[in-house]
Amino acid sequence: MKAPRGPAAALPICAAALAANAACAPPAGAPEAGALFVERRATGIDFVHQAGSAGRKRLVEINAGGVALLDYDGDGDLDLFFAQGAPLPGHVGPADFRDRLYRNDGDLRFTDVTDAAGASDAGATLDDFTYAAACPDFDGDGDPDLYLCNVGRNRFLRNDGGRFVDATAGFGGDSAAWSTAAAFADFDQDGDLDLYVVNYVHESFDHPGCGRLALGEAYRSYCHPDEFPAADDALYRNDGGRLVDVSAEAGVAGTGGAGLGAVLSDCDGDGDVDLFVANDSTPNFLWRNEGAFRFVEVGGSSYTAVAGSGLSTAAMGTDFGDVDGDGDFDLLVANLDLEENTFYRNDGRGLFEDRSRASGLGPPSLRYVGFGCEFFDADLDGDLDCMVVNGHVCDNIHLIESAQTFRQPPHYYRNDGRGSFEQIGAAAGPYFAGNYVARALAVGDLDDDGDLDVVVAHWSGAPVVLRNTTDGARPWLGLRLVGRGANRQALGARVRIEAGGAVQVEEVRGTSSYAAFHDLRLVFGLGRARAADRVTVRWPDGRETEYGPLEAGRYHVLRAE
Amino acid sequence: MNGIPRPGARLLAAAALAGCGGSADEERSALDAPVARPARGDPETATTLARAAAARAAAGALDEARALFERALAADPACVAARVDYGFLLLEEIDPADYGGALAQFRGARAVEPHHALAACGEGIARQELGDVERAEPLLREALAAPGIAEFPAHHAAAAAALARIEAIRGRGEEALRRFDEAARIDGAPPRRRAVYRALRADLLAESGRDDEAEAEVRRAIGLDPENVRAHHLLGRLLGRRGARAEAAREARIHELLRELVDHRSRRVLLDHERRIALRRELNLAWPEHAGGRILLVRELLECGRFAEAVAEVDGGAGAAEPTLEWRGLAARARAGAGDLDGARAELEAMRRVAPDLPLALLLGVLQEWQRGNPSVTRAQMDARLREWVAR
Repeated sequence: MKAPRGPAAALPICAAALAANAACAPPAGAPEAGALFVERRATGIDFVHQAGSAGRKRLVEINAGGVALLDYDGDGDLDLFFAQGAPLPGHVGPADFRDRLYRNDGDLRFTDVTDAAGASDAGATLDDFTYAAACPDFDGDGDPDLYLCNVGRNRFLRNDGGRFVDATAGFGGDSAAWSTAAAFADFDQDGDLDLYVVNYVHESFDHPGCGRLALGEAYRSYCHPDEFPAADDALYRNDGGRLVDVSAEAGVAGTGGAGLGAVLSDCDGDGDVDLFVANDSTPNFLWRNEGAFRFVEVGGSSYTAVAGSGLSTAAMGTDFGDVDGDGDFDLLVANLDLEENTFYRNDGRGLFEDRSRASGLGPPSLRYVGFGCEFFDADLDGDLDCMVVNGHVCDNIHLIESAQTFRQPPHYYRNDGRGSFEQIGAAAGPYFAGNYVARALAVGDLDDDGDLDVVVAHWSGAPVVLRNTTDGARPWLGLRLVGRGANRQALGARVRIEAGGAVQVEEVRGTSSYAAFHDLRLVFGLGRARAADRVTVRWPDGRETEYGPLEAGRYHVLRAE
Repeated sequence: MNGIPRPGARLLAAAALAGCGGSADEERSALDAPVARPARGDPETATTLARAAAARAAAGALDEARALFERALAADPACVAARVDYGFLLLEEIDPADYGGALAQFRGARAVEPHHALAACGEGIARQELGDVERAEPLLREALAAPGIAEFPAHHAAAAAALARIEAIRGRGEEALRRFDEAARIDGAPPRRRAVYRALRADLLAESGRDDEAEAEVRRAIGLDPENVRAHHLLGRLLGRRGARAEAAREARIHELLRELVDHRSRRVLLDHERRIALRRELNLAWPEHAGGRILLVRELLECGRFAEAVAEVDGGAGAAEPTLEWRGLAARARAGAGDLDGARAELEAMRRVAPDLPLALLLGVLQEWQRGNPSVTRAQMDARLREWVAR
């Protein structure tokens, strides 16, 4: 495999007029022919992320940038929600710190409907600094609600037919710590959605600052999270529509991980939803669901707490996927530079082995700080590919390490069908030749053409929409699951499809990657098959339903009986 | 950094051995963008400054060493020895490593002397760390083929290990195993590094299902560096895989304690002596055979002035075996700090029976602990004791 080219070799052209934190565009006139992803311009999205900096380099600024995909108006296509920062004390600059919601008007054009839909908190204070959003249909009324992971109190915006109402009071799940991810699932299989909130650290603004300050203010740097106490995560049980904090009895309280990412999966195959939490420089958590709201943290014994080095990593984004087609879910964790991203292969019994090097997912990532990461079948060839977006966490890293850069190129890894990946860089599209400070990466079929497009949030910059150009050139199958009762989105359901002799498995997750919420529909590439012979859905309550054959080339709505 | 420790002072020998004579070879590096051949300056001044820099680096004064190297290169930009030693300082001593800075120095050296083995070695290692395996590989092969490389065992081993990593990335498993073995067998390389190479080799063996060989290899790693975190992590996994549950659980516990002691050592963690002491105590309970564990606990207790507890550890650790000189020295410091100067002196006397010429610094250190634990002790009292001990 060819090694990735270093940042210095990526040949970006930065127009002098670009703001300091804007992304570096790829070279003008870069060939797009054959590119898997093409950046869609003139989308109507005028959102620009703001970290609200006041020049003191507070940790809260630097990891921000979230995105969520949801069909808020029920018209069948995916709308976009962007998480916005907030002004830090002393911030001087633009005063509009609203989160933003964009309605999908088709053909990848969007209209700002934030005010009309009421889809933002005030954005006036640090408490409203939004890191991520989750879009559960919490009340089971058929439309997705918005749950905002904030630096302060989290907010629940209930969707009443396309208009959001702040229903935080009485919701019960308003964790007040600095939250970075939220995973909704029916953990106790009682038919409604419970909630796990990932919290990061308790940053003190009394901290004098970090970096080699003795050398001057230019060396001021964002602090390592170890400078601050880690914030406990929170687990909430849904008791008749109101969330109740059960962190203590479930064993989640007092664990102290500095969490940044989360992903659901029944990774031990026992029929209920487990949860992996990517922690920044503290051991990761793998919460094994024992039923009846009993959870056991098995990160250590499953070998997912740390990398093969035996050390914890600065874990950010994460995702599960069956990349080697053996029917179980393997795990990816995006890490800091010099750590490599960690790929854990699942042995089928819920025990994992660090196979970062052998899979090809580790070595190309050595020099990059990975945030958003996702397995998905981008080229619809029947296996899961992988995308990781990068961007350093020190804007002056070149002063410390002269070969390192703040902006970094995103990576696209093509799966050879056996779980071995090749990072193909700019061959995936011109966007991959540029350098960015990327954070969230969300995946969904934005133009309903049967392939998966991508939205990337850039720190202190404009997001990008990457259109997948596969355009139905290969047979595909789309599934939208409708669950029973209050879990209408079927979060946690597992799907097994058989097509042309090949078997694929996937789950409905919503939350994964970094600060992202994805399309809840599932898209499978079918290879040469014209239909899925059989589709088996294991619903979140454990019941199974078989469907099929299902014709390729369109979405099918599968309802729980 | 792939788990490679930075054990402090490293071999900084090029300047000390070679001076700044350099070569008149005008051939330029053929690698990537051309580097201009640095202009010749004042080699004598540069050599003097580079030697001073190497000495400061060996003493751990890295900022001073860096400044001296910069001055050396300002005096003579073509001083190959200064560039090579400075490159290794940036690569292996500075934390975090400045790979780009190191690369610039090695490339500058190779612009003067294209076939300088240590410059090729350093550039190859730096490029491998930067993920540039394409250009690292030929450099490392060139360095390892050079006859003089064996004179620099740490660099020799690091180059072999870097090439082993590249072989592994390229899927050439047997070559990777052979290169890691080569690196680990170099006696002159620091044991902690050799342990890392053994552990990485064990990882490769485990990946290919050769669990028995992997277990033997990882135990060798632990023999070289008992606190190698990667090795304990892998050993726990291997033991679990072959069904040795109790042993696996014990290894997992040892790994977890060691991990917390070394993982992400930020200022906050480093200053948390309570936690570190608690971890050391737990480790000694979980792994009583680890002879170094008790010593490290006593060191930790002494560092934060908890002399009574240090004495308790010293007394509790007195077993059938004759205490080592290191153990006696720590015991002397602990007893002095706890106010038991007679006890401290008894430890020193026991040391004298084995090593009659105790260094003055050791005696001074014990007396300083006496004062630290007993602030009413005056300078005059310390001087008097020192005279008494030296006279004896």
